[in-house]
Amino acid sequence: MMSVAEEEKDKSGVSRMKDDIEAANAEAVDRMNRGKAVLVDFELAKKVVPGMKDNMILHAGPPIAYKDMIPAMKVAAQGGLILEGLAKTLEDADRMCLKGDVEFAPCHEHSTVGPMAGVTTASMYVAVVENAEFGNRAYCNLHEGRGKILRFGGYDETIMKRLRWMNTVQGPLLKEAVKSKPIDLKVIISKGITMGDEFHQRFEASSLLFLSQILEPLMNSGSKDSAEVMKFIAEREQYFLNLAMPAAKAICDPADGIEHSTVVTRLTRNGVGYGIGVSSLKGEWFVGPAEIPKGLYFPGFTEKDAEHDFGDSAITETIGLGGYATASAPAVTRFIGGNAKDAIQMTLDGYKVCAGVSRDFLIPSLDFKGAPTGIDIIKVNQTGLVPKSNTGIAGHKPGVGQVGAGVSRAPIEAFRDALRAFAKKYGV
Amino acid sequence: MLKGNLKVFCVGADWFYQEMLAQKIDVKKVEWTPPPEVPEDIASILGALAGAK
Repeated sequence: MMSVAEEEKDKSGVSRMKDDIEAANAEAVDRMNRGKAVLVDFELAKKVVPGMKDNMILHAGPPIAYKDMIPAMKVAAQGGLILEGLAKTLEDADRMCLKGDVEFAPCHEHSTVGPMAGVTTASMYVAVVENAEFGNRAYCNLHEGRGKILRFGGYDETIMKRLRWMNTVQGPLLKEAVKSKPIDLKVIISKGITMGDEFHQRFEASSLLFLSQILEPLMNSGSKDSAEVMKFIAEREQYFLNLAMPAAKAICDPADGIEHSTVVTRLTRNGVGYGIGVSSLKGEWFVGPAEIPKGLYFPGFTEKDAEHDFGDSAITETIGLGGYATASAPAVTRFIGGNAKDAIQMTLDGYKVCAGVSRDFLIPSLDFKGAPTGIDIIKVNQTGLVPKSNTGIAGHKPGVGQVGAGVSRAPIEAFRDALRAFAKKYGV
Repeated sequence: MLKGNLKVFCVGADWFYQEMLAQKIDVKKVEWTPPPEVPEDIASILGALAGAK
């Protein structure tokens, strides 16, 4: 039995722990709020992504072996190898992967994020986003569009031709444009959130804001291809997705590795598992099952055609965007299902599980309150309110591409395992 | 029937809510989510973390 003195000591220990957690989480949110996200370059992945190799494929989500990948991610990986000139056919590429000739790694472990399959290979151009406040950078491949595209597991000659053009024409032109004029992505996000974007599914305003920024340097480039690049961006209302993601990664990474912090620094899915990372448990993955998103389907498709959730795009939720900013984007419910009330509720639920609010991402419909920021695993476990993401839905059959869009939930199991690991580390 | 200042919060089926309205009961329909089922070890950790102050 504990003596009174021991009980007092025990109580003060728990009390200190609570104070330590609160202070650490406040620091995590403060680092996110102070973080910058400036688009400073476009470059080949092999030249800038840390640890990138010629035979390496970065993929979305927590670590996964090739043999265990969903069909869409396998096809995207195979297409990536063909793009690199390392394989001639999907079958060749499949054999290479099974033989172990290809090194696979999660994008997140290379300061990178990738939507859906997330497949990033050495000669793909990536956006380079800098957080000058903390001196770190994050990377993301270029946006292909919607529908039948490689990142959704689509594969045909049209897709490959488009990717080659992106890597040989669009990438170099964007590089030149940004060199003369770095673009502050955080400013675009702050504006976009007041213009109806939530930054996981809806990017109508921000894509046009980005185009308005890049227009002049592209026009002044003197290249005969600049008009085609401008048209490509203008026709893709989700173009800013592949810029919002590395912005979120660049802002979130400095919040990783804070002792006692229970704030989530990674949220990502590979189609099999949904993995999370926690600040004070840096480098560890906590993984639960990925689910099939609930949503609306393109004509001709139903839930039977859907694949389980995948992509690094849930990085946006870690800094208060995406699902947590849905109140700013009621129009997104016309695409993912639900109504304006549901959109507001998604954000209100966020305040119940987040450690703080954003200083820059202000939600008009909530009287310009900052978006909920810094998901706290303790609060998620207390309430059962797991993060929700507004996401694209890929087809289960290889080569089909996107079949719809909807809402996916993070698995509570991952948050429970993270809390268990936290308790073990700190002797709770 | 219930009268006076009693406020009733209805979390049941809609027919029950309508019936209460028909009875002129001062009732407000509220959304209610059942608390999550929490495994014992998680409840223990949450209890420990909430135990002070």
